Amino acid sequence: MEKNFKTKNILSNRGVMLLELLITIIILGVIFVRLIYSFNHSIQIFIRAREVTNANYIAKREMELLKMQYKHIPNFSPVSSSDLFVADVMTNEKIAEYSGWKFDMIVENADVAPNSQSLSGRLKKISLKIYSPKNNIFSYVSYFTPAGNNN
Amino acid sequence: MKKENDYYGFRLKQNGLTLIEVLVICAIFGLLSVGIFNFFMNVIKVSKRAESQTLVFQNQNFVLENLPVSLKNCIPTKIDGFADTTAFFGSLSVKYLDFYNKPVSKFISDLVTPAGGLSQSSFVRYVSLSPTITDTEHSTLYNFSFGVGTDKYLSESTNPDVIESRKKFRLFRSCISKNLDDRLNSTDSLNADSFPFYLKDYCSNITGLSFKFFDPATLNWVSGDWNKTYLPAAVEISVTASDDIKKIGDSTKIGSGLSKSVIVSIPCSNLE
Repeated sequence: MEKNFKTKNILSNRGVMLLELLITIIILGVIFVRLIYSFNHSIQIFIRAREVTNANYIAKREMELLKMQYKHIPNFSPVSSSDLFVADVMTNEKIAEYSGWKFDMIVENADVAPNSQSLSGRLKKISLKIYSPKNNIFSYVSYFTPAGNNN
Repeated sequence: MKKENDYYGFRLKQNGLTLIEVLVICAIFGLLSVGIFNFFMNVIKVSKRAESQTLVFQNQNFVLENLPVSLKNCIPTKIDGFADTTAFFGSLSVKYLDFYNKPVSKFISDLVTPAGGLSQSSFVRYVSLSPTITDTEHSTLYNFSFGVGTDKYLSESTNPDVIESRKKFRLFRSCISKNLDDRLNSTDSLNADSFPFYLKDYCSNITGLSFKFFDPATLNWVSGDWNKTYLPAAVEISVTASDDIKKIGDSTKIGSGLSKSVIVSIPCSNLE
């Protein structure tokens, strides 16, 4: 009799209620975690897409500036440098729209032509490593030569 | 011996819940419900914001992708070995085009006349690089491309229509074609849809647009109007787009704007 009473007491009273509550919380928790994860994932995709577009714009902008400098400044010879920022063309101040963005410029000699002929440093390989505010890295490469950047 | 259903103290039933337990459960469920409601409200708010920002971002990208193309298209092509700058600069003098008072045929001949070397199948394209907001009555074009062909007219334009009450530019991409359509008033082979960058009914809130020019003579950037007799080496186009415009009383509140600029090299500066 005593044994039956104990079993009944455990299963039918607060134990069952707590168990049900626990199961409900676990199920709700799992659903919520998945929901929040998928929501967070979609936000991340959106942010990433914007980052890619911004990085593309920065790369295009800097490559255009390099192209222009190669074309118009005599004996223009860029050097590798890091922690550069996107600057206003007139004031050379940081542009607000790209605040938090920075980039490294790596200048290398691309000396060997396909026919193994040396180009004596005339062809430069310029790589841009662009860092987003979230520290994602985007890399771009372009080749420049003092003559013939007319496009 | 007490029965199971006996009532004593605060307990409703022997195997049931006390009043305090019911209250605690109600409170917990209440808090949980409020939390869930807030969560979903935040999700909706953030998703709406993200959607609005995406639209602005995409519109802005569209403008920034197309303006450089239009600009490059305006650069005179070499005809018979000569850079035809007449077409470009001849048109530049016609800075503000009046679609309302000038008949289209006159308008076309205005553009064609300076470009004497062009054949009838050539494109004549025009860009006013300096938009003005002073001429509010008529269209103040900052970018206009016009093609004259032997058998058809193609048009594409971006027209910042200044709406004084809203104090903002609105970028219409289809209105000029409609105007042209009205003015031609015939089936005169107007075929705007076949123009590569024509997007019907495209509209975007542009709250700012500015240009800077790289002068190949002085190697300096200048802002404002470009009125030299040679082409700039590069143009920086800056666009600000806004996602939210609200009318509050008599004042207009413009939402947070996104700014972006793009630099376009001009391939053949005629200074060379």
